[in-house]
Amino acid sequence: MNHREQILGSIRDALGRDSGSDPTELPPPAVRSSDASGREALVDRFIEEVEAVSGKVHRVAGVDAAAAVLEGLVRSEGIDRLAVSRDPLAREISARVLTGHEVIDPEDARDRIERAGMGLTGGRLAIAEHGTVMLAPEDDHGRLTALLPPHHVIVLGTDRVVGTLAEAIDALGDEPPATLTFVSGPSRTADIEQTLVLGIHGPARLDVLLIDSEGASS
Amino acid sequence: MTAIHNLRSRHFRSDTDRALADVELRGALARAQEMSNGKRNRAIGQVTDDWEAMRERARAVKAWTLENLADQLELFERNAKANGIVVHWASDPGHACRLIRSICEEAGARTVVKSKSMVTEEIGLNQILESADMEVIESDLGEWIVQIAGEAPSHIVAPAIHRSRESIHALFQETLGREIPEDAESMTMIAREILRQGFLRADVGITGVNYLVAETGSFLILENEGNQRLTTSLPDVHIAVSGIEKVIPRLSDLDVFLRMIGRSGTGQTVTTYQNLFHGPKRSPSQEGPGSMHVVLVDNGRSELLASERSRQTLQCIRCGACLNICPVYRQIGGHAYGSVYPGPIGSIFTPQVAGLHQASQLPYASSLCGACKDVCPVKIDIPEVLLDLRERVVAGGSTQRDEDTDHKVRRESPAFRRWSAVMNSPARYRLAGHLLRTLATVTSRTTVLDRFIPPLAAWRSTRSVPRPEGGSFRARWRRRGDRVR
Repeated sequence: MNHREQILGSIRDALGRDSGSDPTELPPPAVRSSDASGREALVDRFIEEVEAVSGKVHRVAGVDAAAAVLEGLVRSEGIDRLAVSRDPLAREISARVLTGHEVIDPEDARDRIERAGMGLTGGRLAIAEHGTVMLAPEDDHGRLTALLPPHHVIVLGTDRVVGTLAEAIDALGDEPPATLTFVSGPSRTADIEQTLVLGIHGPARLDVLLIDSEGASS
Repeated sequence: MTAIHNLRSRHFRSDTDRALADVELRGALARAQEMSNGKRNRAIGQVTDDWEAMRERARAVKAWTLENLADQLELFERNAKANGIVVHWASDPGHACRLIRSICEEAGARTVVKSKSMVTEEIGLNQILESADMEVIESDLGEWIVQIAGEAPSHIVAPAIHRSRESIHALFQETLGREIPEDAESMTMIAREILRQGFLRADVGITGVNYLVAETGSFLILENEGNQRLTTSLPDVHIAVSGIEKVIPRLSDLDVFLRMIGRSGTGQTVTTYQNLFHGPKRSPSQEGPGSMHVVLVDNGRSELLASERSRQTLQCIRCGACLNICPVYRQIGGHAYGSVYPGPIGSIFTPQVAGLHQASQLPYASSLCGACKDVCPVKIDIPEVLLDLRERVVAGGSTQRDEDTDHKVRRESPAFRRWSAVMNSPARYRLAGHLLRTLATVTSRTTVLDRFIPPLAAWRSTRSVPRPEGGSFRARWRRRGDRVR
């Protein structure tokens, strides 16, 4: 018995029995744009929304300043293993953090990424209205680096900020990558009596290093 | 026996009585509902475009897709295959489980990790995999709690909503065999440690699906915890199980659905993670699963397409808002429904897909207040479908009904004939009013009449009778008239 033919036949048969109702019209696609206008307004909105979902944005003027913030995070948490994706910007700033920590590469065995205290990746786009960063692991091999360590740091330029989810989806074009993850804040659960707890499975902390575009090398 | 898995129990009355007497359950539900409804209202208030216009768009997209479901599924299949996804079809739970088990067996799976999926509850997948000697780990925190407790989820979004923190603490201590702190954060972090080891040894990851996108052959899953990301990133095989109704035509349609489902379900602007999959990894050096499967499950759904009224049931996006708002769910919780999908949506979904004779009491698990209809983001007219199902229960003939329903029907017809006789005569109406006031006055003071009127005793077991004050409406109207003149 072919289940495919059976299901498709059953669907067509059932729909064929309905003679009474008028056909619905499919609403035309609409790319919703943001009510915030201008780069500055979008960046401000992005920062506000990331913080509303318990993340943190560090807006910095250039690569050196980004490296300084990263170094501060690494030091204050006593991180001795930092996993870094192949994103050029992530590579560049991690190379400037000279605190003697071990840098773990996506090529390394996954239990080494698992044991890292922090993961640093790039991001393809940032969506202002929901404080979202769109991760495309194919761009930088950052899939596990963004997921396994308890603290995730994303670095990207302000030119990557778009207004709405609709615009981000529209920007994917016809050839989306194999996987996309839209991240809005750290991992959370409220499954025990609606008490919010961060970091149940994914990272408990999320920092975004947002580099002013003129200062970003990419 | 196609859809029997949708139903766990047919004893709605006795299950309800037990739930009503459960103080822990009712406390947990009341707290949860107040919080979720407040958060939902605030989140909807933040939408800058018109919420009603969003509902209408979402409804129309779903309705159009259902009217063109066969074509849309074929389009999804064609595009998904081109992306390297293997698409499977299953008419019934048995076939779906056999398919999934053989994919796992071919992968040599010893451990299977799952992220929350209601359709795998519906097809009874865990038992099948366990009977094939595989370790099955539910990784959503709420799902894991009910799994180690040997229970079923009691809510489609918050599976362990019926349990208090104290009872979860006792359960964890018993399972782990050691003392642990009793705050939610410590317990959550202990669960993280244990489950992370499960992820690392899992050979296959199984998830549900929120949206299948026909034009791109991709699919999207939503979550907050990150367990779905782990389930779909660590094991080498990813199996996504979906009802056939989950398809939407275009990637751009995600905009409206993603902005509605978080707000409706948990009062979040969007869920923390939205995971979009277009296929397995494209080169060996990439991370992620080497093979990806989508299993499309019918299990009675296609029958619902035959009329506009029943078809709307399949518009559901499983946000859980109708459970959170429902005054009946609030009192009895999810388990009493005896249905995999509880609450208002379950009360129309289960009887239609499993057969009305299997679940003839569920259409009555509602006060018809209409809150579910008002709150539904895709505008399903749940009360309309409930009434239609009630009509079919009554018209169905005794072989299709259980004893309780039969008894109700035998009692109701003569009662309504008498009601009609009273309402048609002013003299009888006055007399009946007088008798009822006397009866209410007596029963508000003493239980002596309960013995002679069994329905009164049943009604009183959970309520107190108020004493009528100030005579009939007609008498008061006459007095008022005297004063005015």
